[in-house]
Amino acid sequence: MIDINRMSIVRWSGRKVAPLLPFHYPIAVHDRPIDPYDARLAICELLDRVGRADRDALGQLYRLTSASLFGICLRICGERSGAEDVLHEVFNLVWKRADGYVPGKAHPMSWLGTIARNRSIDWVRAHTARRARPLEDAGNVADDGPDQYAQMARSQEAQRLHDCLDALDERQRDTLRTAFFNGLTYAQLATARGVPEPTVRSWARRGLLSLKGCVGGD
Amino acid sequence: MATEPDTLAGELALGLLEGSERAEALRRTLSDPQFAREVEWWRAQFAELLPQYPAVPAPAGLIDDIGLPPVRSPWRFGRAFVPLASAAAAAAAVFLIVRPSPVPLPPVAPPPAAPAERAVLVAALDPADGTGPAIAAVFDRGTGSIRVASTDLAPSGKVAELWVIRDGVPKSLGLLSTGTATRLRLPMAQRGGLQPGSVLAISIEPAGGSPLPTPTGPVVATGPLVDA
Repeated sequence: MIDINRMSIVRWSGRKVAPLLPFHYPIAVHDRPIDPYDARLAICELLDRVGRADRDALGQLYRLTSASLFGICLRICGERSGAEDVLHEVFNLVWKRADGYVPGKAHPMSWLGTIARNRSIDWVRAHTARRARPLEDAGNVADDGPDQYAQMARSQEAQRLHDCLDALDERQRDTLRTAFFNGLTYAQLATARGVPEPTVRSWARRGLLSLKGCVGGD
Repeated sequence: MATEPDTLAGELALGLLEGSERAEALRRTLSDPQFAREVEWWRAQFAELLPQYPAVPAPAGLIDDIGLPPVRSPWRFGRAFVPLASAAAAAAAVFLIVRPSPVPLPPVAPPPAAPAERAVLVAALDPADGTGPAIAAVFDRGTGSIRVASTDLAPSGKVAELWVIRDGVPKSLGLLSTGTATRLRLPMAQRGGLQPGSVLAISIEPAGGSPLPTPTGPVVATGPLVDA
């Protein structure tokens, strides 16, 4: 396991991108579907070029990945201007440290998406005057039905995580998914769900323990 | 409010923690490699959910300024150029050696702070053992330097080292003087890592600093950076 957001200085130019696992990620492209494997290769190659200060590659990377990443920023930041600031910061980081990505370990979109999510959470935490947001829009994602992404082929690991989440007690699952997709803290979750914070903590911890046992335990 | 050790890594990776609880968990990623691996494991797990965020078209032109030299007014250029010419030339030489760039380097090193960013970030580093006063640190984005108040943390023969932790990964910022305040001028590449929410930490290391990219000695104080 590696920290997919770890930007250690590990150059990979010249290294073959051979150990690619069949990991499928829906890339938002306006008019044509893109093969997940090709997309992964394309993003790896673009990151390599960005790591060598190729601005054209940065533009192509933006066209290929910005919609997916902006979706993450927008949901967590809860406002457009903040999400744009964060997305800019994400690409600025990528520009400076694209060479921190090690292909073959994590999917490049997982790497980029985790950066976007963490930077968005930092942004929210730094802007404490954030307005309380109604959580009904969280339901779109947090309660997604099985058909929403049925057409999306998942990696074995992703499928296992989803199966294990589905097996959780409903409140535990809701707590973990809402925390993930909206980037909420314990205090914010408690307010959103109208329950005392210790209750939310208990749901989350029991959920995490079950999840670990299910995903990690053979 | 004791936290079960079994789930703390997952709680940190998920972003549930805040304030001192988060700082404490981040501190543990420095001192406890097993815990750090657990955090990484949880991050990788949750990353499987990332494709479920609905995509939203991002504005065109948002990143047009990235990788370009900052635009400067002639007045500012002229004022700054003379005293900084030799330093800028040296900086340019270093920059070009480290990373060849297709665009010409601006002659002045410190970029103007973006309008949305505060010029100064501050942190109060609380001693890990809960005794003694917090240690003040001030990061000036304009000059790219960080000032840490006088400390007596390091015993004889040891040295205090300053770190910034983002996403559980520590990066050394430099060594602290003993008995006097320290001002560290950070290389450009490191400045972006100091943002509101980044956590500063001080560890005790052998003379000369940690031989590894991570702290080897005890972490004695931590605190998050916030807007001044």
